[in-house]
Amino acid sequence: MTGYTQTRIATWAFSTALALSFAGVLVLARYGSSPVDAHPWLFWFAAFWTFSQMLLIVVALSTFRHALRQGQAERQLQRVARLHRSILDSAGPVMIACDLGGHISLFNPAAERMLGYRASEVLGKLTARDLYPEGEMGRVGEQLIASTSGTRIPPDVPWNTAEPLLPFIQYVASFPASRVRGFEMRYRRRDGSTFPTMVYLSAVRSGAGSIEGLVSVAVDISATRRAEHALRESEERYRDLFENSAEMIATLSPRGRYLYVNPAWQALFGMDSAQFESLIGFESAFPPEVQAEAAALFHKALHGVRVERHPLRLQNSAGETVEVEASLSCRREESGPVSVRCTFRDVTQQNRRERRLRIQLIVNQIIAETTSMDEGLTRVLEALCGTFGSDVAVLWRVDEAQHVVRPRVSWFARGRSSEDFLRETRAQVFTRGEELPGMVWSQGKPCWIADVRQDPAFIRRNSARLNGFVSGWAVPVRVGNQVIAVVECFSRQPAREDAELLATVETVCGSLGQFMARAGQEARVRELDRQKAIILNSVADGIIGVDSAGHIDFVNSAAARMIERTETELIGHSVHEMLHPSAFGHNCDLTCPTRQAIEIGESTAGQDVYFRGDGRSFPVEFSLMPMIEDGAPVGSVLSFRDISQRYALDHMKDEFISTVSHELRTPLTSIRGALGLLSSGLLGAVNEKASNLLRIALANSERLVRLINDILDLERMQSGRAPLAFRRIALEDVARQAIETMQPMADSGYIHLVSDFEPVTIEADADRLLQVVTNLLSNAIKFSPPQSVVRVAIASVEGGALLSVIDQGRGIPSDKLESIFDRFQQVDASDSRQKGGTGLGLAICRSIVQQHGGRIWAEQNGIRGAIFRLLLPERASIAPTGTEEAIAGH
Amino acid sequence: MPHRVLIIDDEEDIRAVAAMSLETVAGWEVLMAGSGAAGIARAEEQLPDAILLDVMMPVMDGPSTFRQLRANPKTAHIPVILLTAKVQAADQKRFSDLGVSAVMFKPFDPLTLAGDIARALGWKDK
Repeated sequence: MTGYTQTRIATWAFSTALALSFAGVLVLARYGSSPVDAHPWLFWFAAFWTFSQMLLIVVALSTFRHALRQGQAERQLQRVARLHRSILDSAGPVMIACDLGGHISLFNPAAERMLGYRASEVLGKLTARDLYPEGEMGRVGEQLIASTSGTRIPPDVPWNTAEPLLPFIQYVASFPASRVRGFEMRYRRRDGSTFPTMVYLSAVRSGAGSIEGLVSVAVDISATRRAEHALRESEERYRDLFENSAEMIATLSPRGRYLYVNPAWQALFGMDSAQFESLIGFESAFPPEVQAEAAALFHKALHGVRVERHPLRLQNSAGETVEVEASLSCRREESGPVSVRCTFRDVTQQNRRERRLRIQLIVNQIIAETTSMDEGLTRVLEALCGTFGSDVAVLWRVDEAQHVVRPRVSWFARGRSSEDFLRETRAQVFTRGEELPGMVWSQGKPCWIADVRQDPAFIRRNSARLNGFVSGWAVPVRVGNQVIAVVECFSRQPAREDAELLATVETVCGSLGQFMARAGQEARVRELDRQKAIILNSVADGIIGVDSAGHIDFVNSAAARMIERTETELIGHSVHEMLHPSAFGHNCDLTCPTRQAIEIGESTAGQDVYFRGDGRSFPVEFSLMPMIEDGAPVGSVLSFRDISQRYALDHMKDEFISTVSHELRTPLTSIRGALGLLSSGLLGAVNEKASNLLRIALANSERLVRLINDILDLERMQSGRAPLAFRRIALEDVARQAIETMQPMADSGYIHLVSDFEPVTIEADADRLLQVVTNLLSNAIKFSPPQSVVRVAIASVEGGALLSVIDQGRGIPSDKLESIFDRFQQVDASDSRQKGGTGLGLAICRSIVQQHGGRIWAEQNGIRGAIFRLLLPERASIAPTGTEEAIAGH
Repeated sequence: MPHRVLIIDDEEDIRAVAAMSLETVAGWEVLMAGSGAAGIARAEEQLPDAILLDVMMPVMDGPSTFRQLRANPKTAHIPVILLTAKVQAADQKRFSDLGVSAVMFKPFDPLTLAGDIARALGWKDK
């Protein structure tokens, strides 16, 4: 009965009782005044009635008060119940309650959701056993009982508890109410699938404290289980990896104590786990030179900075240089860093490969792009230092001629001064085998000095110490088997011998050797080119290189100056167009000598007129030489000389000669004429002595005239300005004419002139040739005794004719056979006076013969006399220079 | 009637030697002039049979004198022999191109000069 019902009943009872008691009072008031008289039973009845009604009122009032209080309590309970309901409804965990028989009395929405049942399908219909997989309750129950073994079996397990619930009740009962430990148990969904939960049990107890049922709160732990599983698996996997990993792995406490080191790590440092555990800090395991760096890395990681692939170089337990990439990370929890994981990856091989490739690449690039040897070498040294961490590098050049090795180029890292060391190095010259470079030179193999400061053989050790250099090495640079240079590098870091480094540098030095050899050749070629350019540009003659197409590909400065055009204006243009520009109305026909020369492409020489850039012309003497390479013409070289100066000089000379001939001959004419008339006797008889003097004077005046004539003749001949008029002639005609001319002279000396001619036709200047033969005959007659024979013979020989003048005179000493053709050279110094010769006759003869392309020489004629021979070609091979004509032609 | 020859030369000594040579050796009548202008005047005036003309003379040289003589109708017919010390081939060619009757060279042989002239001019008699 609820408080509300109670209150209504009490209110009704109270009001009814009040009304009846009021009626009883009314009856008493009417009959009370005479209670006994009137109706004594009625009085008593009324009094009893009233009293009972009064009593009833009191009861009603009391009930009412009770009911009121109970209502308040009920409302309070309802509020709590609603709260509980809403908690049950909204709670995430599965909440299920059952009685001791296993009947389910509570099934919250989370349970509905997770198990797939509706509450209405469960409440009063299913038992707890239905919500678990088969056997699960028994299995868990056994474990729970086992876990509680040793604790006392609680006495208050109700007797009517269902069998499967018994262990659970027992378990719950063994703990104080709020201390029951959760346990894992699987639930089964309506569809039969199961899931793991963490179950927290509590007992439902009666007011008396006896257990009436169980409430189970279950949390789904599928996700947690999965994560744990994964973690465990990965931990297993990682451990496997760690143990077998080639990478070096260590786990350290935040204080730097080694917690775990894998075998690779142990191998690197050559220590076992126990040794690591005894170290006081991370860096303690490292060699001294890298301890500071290692400590810094550890602190960085500890403070939350992830260290990724930091390069470290250290010596391993076997003393080899190992390069690693260090990665450090710190595992943190809220409380702070938990551990530091440190992983080293051995990149020694990889780095070596990369370094070797890189340095080779760099060096090849430098070699390919530099033209100056010293610049290239300096850059290679810089690259070597950069790659191998050296601070200074020097290249020594072997001087085979002097048997020494000298420093050629050097490079040093910026920063700390290397000055003292370099100054001493630059001043050094080492012999074979002396100091580091000399030793590498003599042995032909690399050399490593771990500490140059301590090496007594290292002469520069003091300056090395001064500049802080510690380790050093040197490698030979070879071309073929010959060491041509030595590369040495020094570092301020101590370093043990690194065979791999030396091997790499040796490879590089191979390229370097090729480069030096090539650069040396190129330098020589450049020097030759430079010399050639200097020569070509310093000659006064214009020189133009012409390609096979007739275009200019080279111009020396004299050519450019004469043509008054720049090199750029000339190069690439047609040489003929540049020299004979049609722009100045110069339209050459086929007779243009320059054009002919270029087109024919044969060795030619001649005279021409070239034009300057502004159209002015100037006379030139040119020659063209074809350039033949591998039998094929590849162009030609045209050289030319501005002969306008020479023209001016020639003109002056002509003037001079004409003046001399006039000025000398004018007085001579008078003297000669006067003496001639006097000695002729036409003007009267002269006594014998006077006549003799007159004859001497006359002879000498004639000799003077001849001398002047000969000098002028020879001068003109040798300057090439006395043009020869070549035509085909019969040589015997010339010889006959000469004999005719000289016959009177021969007759007066009683000399027999004999001729012996073969008919030969040659190309010659008849007048000049006559001059020669006459001269030879005149000499022969002059130097022949009376009654002797002078023979003139002409014979046909291959390609020409041989004319001989053979006398039986006094002959020519063998040492004078050649000199008699020189000017003023006679066999006997008195000849000129006695024989009236000028001493120029044979020089003139030789000059004339040479202009014919022929040869003249003298021989001894057995024991008596001399032979003058004249070999003349059938065709005059030297073209007439014909200065005047060539110029007049333009 | 002996031939009359006019010698035009600026050198008095040469005039004298040449004159003596021609007079003595050939017996010709010799006229003389010391310059081109004087020679032209003399030739106009005397109309000699031949003129022996020196090439190198101041003021008016031989070729100029020759051209004036040829230009003058009175003297145009008179044969002219150039007497020169120049021996260059180019000069010879130039002189013979002028149209002179002959070119003779100094120094001349006084004994053969007259004969050379007579031969060059085709004179038969002495």
